[in-house]
Amino acid sequence: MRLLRYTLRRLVLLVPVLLGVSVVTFVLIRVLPGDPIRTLLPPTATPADIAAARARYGLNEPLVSQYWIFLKDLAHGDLGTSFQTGASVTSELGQRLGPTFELVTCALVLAVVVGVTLGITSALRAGKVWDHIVRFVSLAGGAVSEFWLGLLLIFFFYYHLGIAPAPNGRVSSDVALRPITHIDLVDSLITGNLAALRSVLAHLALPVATLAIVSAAPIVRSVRASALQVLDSDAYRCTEAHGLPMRMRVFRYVLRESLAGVPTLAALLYGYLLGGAVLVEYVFSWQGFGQWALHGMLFRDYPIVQAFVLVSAAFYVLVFLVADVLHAVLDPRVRL
Amino acid sequence: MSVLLETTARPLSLRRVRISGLTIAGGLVLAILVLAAALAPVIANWGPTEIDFKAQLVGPGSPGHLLGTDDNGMDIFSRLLFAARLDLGIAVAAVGIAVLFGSVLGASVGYVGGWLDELAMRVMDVFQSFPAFVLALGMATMLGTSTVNLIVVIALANTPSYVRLMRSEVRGVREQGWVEAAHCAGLGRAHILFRQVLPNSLRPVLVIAPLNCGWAILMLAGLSFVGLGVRLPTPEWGAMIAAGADDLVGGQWWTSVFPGLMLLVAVLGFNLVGEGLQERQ
Repeated sequence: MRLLRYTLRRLVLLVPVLLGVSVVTFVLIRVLPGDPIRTLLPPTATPADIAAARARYGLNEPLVSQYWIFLKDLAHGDLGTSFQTGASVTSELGQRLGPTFELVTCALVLAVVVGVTLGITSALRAGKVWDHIVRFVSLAGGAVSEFWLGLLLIFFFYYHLGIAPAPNGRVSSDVALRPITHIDLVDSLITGNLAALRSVLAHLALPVATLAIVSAAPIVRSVRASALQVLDSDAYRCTEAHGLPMRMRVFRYVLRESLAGVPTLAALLYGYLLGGAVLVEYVFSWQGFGQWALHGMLFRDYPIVQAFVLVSAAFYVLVFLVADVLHAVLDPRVRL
Repeated sequence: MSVLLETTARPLSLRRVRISGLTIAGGLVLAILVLAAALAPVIANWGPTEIDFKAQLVGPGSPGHLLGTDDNGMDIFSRLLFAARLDLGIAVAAVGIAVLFGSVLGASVGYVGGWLDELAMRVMDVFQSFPAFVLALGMATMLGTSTVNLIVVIALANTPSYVRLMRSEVRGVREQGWVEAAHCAGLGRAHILFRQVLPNSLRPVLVIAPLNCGWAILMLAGLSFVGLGVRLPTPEWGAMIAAGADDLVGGQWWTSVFPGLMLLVAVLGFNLVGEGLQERQ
């Protein structure tokens, strides 16, 4: 019950933060240099053409009334129309969010599984060869740039070994995948399209591996540190003295306690991945949220930039909320 | 009394910081990189943007080109050395500004407290509600990509975490007895904040700073990679990787692999230093 009240309070607090974010983005992109109209019109456009175009997109109104219109539309779930394509930003967002969500979530799940396993096993063999290998790999993994790692994987698995598909999209065009949720993994499963599922998984492998390697590194280090602390505690020594079997000691004591810090870290990484995904999507031509936003920023497509910032902010804040709740569930000492 | 306070509130004395092996290893890596960057005109056998028209896209080990050339015929090895100046310079300058600006702002609002503190924290909430790289990306598109702008962009993207860190540290230090003693001794608030409290709260900030330099280099390289940072032909690791990305699928790996390795080594150097400092905290 207290957890529920806490969650509701945090959700209410989300509103002022998102309003703040929307005001800041709204004002910043309009005040900073760069004109969206210039990229739309031919160089021969007369000042009258430019004024007409500005009026068409409502850019000639005072800032305050522009923002008011934006807010009113937002309340109806309308994020405006793209300057470049003229399409509804809300529907474009729907198509772009799924692929990135799929990519980032798969990467995070893989990173947590690999990171926790490596962290615990290296702590159990502290000071041995395995421990040194894991520590070195996690240091290197934390220092590598995701776009370069992606290129390396493409070079080895696509160019050299030829086992990965070409890095140009999410699914091959010949499997006739019908988009429903725009999360290809889910779409291919609910339509029972096995050929598409295979193609989706093959396309996912390299970008997911790229992001997972980069984000597993901090998880390994954090889990290893907290596992070492548990192994050194009186409570753990007591379980040893009682002769509890190794399996039970690792799963019930070391794992449980070392996991407590993982949700917060994972939330941080989730947000970081959303930023990192911009680069990885670029490398793999993923056509996702990040690539869409990058394009929108380059062409000063205000509605797209606003939508991107607003949605990533909402996502970020929600992820942290989930992490805090999970942390409280995993660690009874935490009082929310 | 004032003399006594000065001595009890000594800032970070070097003697108390024990140096870990990791820090030494990282420091060594960085020292070599800085030396290579400083001596680039001496070590490099080609200019940073000099073109060898007789050797375009030749592999590593070719005569006169230790690590090969790119498709313009520019020497990779020489460009890597010159790039170190820009990459290290921008990253360290940006983090320096972020530390300075973030610490002063964070310490001030933490010390003063009240509505100013509340306002500053809500503003930081807004800035931290999306990933730092996205923030940098947005600012870089809007501001344009001169070296100074890049420093400003990366500094601003990293400032909020220092504001937060410093604020929470100062709020703790503020409650300590010697601060009250300084008040009683009649020292001014500004003096207490900047000469006593701030230096005593710097430690966590300084421990994070080297790690942050590593992120800053990655951020710069990422911006350049998507064309929003340093532009070719200026040598910069991220931009070089981007330029070499197309050669990679044709089998010419050296144009992008070597800059990536340099990036890895530099970030690893900063991370080792940071890791060592945290270990001994």
